[in-house]
Amino acid sequence: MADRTMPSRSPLPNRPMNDGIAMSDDANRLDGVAKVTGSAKYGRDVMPKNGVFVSFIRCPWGHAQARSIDEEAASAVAGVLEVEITGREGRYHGEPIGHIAAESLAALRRARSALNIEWDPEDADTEIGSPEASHDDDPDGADHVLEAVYTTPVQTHSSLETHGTSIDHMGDRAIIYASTQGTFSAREGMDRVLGMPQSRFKVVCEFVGGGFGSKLNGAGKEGLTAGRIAAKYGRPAWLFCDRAEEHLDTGNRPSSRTHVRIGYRDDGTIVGGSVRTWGGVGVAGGGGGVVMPSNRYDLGRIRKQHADVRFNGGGPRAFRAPGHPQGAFAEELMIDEVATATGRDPLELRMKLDREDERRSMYELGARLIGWKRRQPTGTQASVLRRGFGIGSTSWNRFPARADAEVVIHPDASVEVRTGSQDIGTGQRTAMAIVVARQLGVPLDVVHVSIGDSSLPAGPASGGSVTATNTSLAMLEAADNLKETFLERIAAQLGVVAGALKIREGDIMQDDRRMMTWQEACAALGSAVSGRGSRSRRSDRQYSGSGHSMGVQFVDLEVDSETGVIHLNRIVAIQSCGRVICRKTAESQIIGGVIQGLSFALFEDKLLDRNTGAMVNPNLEFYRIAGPADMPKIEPVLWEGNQTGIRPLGEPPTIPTAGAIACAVFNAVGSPVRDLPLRPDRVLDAIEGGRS
Amino acid sequence: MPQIQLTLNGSPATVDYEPHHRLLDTLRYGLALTGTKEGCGEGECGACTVLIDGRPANSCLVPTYQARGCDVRTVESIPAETLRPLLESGATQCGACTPGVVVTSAWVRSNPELIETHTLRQLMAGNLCRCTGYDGIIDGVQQGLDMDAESRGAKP
Amino acid sequence: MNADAGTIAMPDTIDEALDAMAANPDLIPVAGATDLFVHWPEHLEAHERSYLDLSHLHELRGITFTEETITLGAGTSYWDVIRDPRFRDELPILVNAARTVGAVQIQTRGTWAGNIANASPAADGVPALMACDATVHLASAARGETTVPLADFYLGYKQMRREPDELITRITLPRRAYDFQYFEKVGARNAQTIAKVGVSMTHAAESGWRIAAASVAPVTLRCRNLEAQLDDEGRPASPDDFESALQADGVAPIDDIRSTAAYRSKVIACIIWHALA
Repeated sequence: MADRTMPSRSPLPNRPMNDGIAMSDDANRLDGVAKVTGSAKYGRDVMPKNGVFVSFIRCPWGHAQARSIDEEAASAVAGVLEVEITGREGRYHGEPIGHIAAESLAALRRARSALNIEWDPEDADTEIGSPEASHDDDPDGADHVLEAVYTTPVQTHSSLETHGTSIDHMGDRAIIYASTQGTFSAREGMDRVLGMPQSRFKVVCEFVGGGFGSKLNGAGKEGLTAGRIAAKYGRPAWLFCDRAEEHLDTGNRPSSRTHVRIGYRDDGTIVGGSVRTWGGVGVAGGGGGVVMPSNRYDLGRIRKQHADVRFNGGGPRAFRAPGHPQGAFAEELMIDEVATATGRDPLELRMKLDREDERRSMYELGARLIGWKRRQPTGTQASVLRRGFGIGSTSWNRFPARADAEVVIHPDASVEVRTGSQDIGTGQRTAMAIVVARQLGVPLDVVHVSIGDSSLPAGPASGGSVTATNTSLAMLEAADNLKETFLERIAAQLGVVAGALKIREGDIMQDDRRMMTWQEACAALGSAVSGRGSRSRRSDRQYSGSGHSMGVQFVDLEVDSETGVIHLNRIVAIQSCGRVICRKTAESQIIGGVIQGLSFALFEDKLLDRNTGAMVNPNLEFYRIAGPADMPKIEPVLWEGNQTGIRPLGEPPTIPTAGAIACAVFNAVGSPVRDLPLRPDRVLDAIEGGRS
Repeated sequence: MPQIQLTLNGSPATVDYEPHHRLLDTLRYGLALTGTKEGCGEGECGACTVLIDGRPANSCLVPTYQARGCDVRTVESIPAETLRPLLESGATQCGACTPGVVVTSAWVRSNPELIETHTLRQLMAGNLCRCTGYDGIIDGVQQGLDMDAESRGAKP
Repeated sequence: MNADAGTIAMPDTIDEALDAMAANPDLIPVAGATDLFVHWPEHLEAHERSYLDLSHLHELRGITFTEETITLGAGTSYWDVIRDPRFRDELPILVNAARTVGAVQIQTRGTWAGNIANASPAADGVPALMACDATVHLASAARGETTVPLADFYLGYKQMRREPDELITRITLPRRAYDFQYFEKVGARNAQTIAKVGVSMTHAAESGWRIAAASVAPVTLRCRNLEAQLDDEGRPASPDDFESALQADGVAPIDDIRSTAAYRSKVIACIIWHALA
């Protein structure tokens, strides 16, 4: 809860272009104080007294059978409560084959070592490979055909707080402190393992250290295993992954391979062709879809086929715009290849191919901001440092989800916004406070948000950018209902008709006369008043507005042609999301989406050893995520356009970045690098290939 | 259990430890100072940053015994009123990296001469963040430096 | 588990430290612990070993400049050098190298001597010291002090001229009027990166060229053939002209998680050639 010694509002970020667009220009993140002072408690921080520590026993190879396991020795380690082996086969590095429960983390590790498992490794497949695309006839009406294969690696979510659950078991009831993107879905199955009705336990996740889709897995194997142990011993239980386990077994963005065979005319018109995509889903049954084509561009008649490819790796989970960044990488670079082959400017070609007029206006603005005029034609530079410019586009629809909300005015003049679903760092807490403050007509300072608790009104799991869009409808309805009740009661006190009263900056007004201050009015209530709302057809009609989120990004970079190292200068990210609620958190979401995209473009790659199938970089040393020194100047532009209502923002800004960077590298060096990440050696190979 | 004495967040403290304990474990599990986070256990992410004798260090790479006689400061000891710029600039999203960011930024602000030789991005390079894209972090540290310079009466 | 297992010797003086090492040659010296403690909780067998903590040995602290020599006590951290204006003025190569070691949180704890003793071929500090003709000073209770030129210190991958009872006490560098100093590391990220390829070069009238390379061989490599080529012929027309000298020097990179052999071979010659432009 916000500490009132710190300001809830403060000066504007220095981005004048975005001034005045949002409902709140200057609101700070409401939970910022708890976060900067270190007092925010995450699930991982909750270590109840007398707790049992639990961890999985995992397969260290891509595919192996455990020939012998010394369960007895492990059980004999001091402090070990139990060792349970649930299977002998590991189908990927990190797959659990059992668990250990012990009195301490150290005892867990000693027991794991004492198991002394002898593994018989088996052959492991580690990648999609090079599946043959069925040969298609050349598209009708084409002057030329581009045939190319684009690939992207497995990207892990790499949330700073790892997956896990801490359960405070108190005999006949329990609190589940889960690191989850779904407060309500995290209860699923928990009743069974705890042997307790859902009415006797609740999930609490006031603070969640990132998720990006990977924590949309219900109670998860971590939660269910901790739950079983908690119930069995009647004690609290704690199970959190370490960094290696996080990389290995908590989902990922699947690898992709996109084989295009596409026809185009001399004027750059794309007349269609075939797009075959494969997604590398590890041992999972699906989830490897590649969104290519995106439908943002007119590419003629495209025949699309997709197949998921299984190999010996952990399965995917939704990752910020699942399937999109990998598809956009292929699509944007393909368009630039066509533009270059036909001697056209990629910006001009996109203006022609893009189906959306509003995005055309965005291209014009972006080109101006990035200085597109300075772009030299692709392949014309011979200097050591070569400048490159690139473009990508994005779009995202609004998806409906169930959401309830409650808003309470307390007699002490505080307003409580109640929503059970979680704030995984997006700013949901802050956004809901702003929506309610504005709708009620009270200052933001009086609003407190109760969030991340399954005993509060139900809301969606945070996936697909649905949390703010849907919960805000419920909040608006709740605030309107509350206002009506509140004003009726105040009107009765004042002896006026309710319809005559308004709330303005907290003051109770009749016409232009202040009848009561907010404090006086609330005190006069005597008891709390509440209003409820839901996202429903009715609230949808009343509050949702029109349009869908879209955007464009422009990249300016330099390539060192001697080392292949890419230096990013600037990224301009123009993004619409309907009515912007909170300017600061919105800008932060855009910049954050961009950095995940650029990290995907330049660094990230979950590498599986070809011989053993083991991940060779299950850490943050060799699995690199972008750091402060890698960052270009990122300029988020909030685009209001013709949109109304509250639109999605989490997903769309991460979609176009990798493609735009790949286009800029192509522009700089003259030949495309069709495989992510854009490693220096690949860039050098492209430069050499282009020379020959 | 052996013990060491140190100054922890400004007060003398005697702390039990095992030879194999990391300072991070001692803080989080031994002393329940859970503001200090563990992100990677290998000195890459900086979520466990603390100040040891006034210098930032990854507490996951510090043996507890090396803290004997030292002045150790964790995020819990950073005065709240100095954190305003990070709050205002939007330096947090999920917040899991934030305590480390706060500690490093507090160090930068108490050594403003560092910016004569280093950029803020270089100074903050040891604190990885998966959410914000760093702009809010860097802006917040800069605003803090500006604020300090003003309050010292120097030209910002 | 034997009785000594997992114990930590915490000497207050070098003599005490050397006595402890003489009594137990299995003692592992610990300075900044920035390598030792990576993923430490998982390394159970390491928990059973015994260590000698050097972090509180004040005698190992300190940097001195005399007319002839610069001395870095073995406890000198990267950060100590980064913040010392004498190095900024006189040996920026060491400052530049230190600044690429991890980030500040590592630079404040990690020591130059630890970097030498850890013997990683991807080290950042070692090639820079090597290009400055550093000498490693070792001491033991039994034999007193010995010195080994850093360029001769490594015998093979993680093999070095340090006896189990010896401690690195200091590093000395001849004081020279360099007219050229260069440090470059190509990594995939701008900080927190272990070298993909690293090059350190100096030139002084009295000593000629010194060139050391990281991540291109099992040890940090002093490139004596290349030095001779530059001393005799100066900068060639193309980086390709370095190939035979570099090969004779033992530049034989491997494919690994950080990079490919082909990339490293190509890039090291380019970096050196451009540095000379």
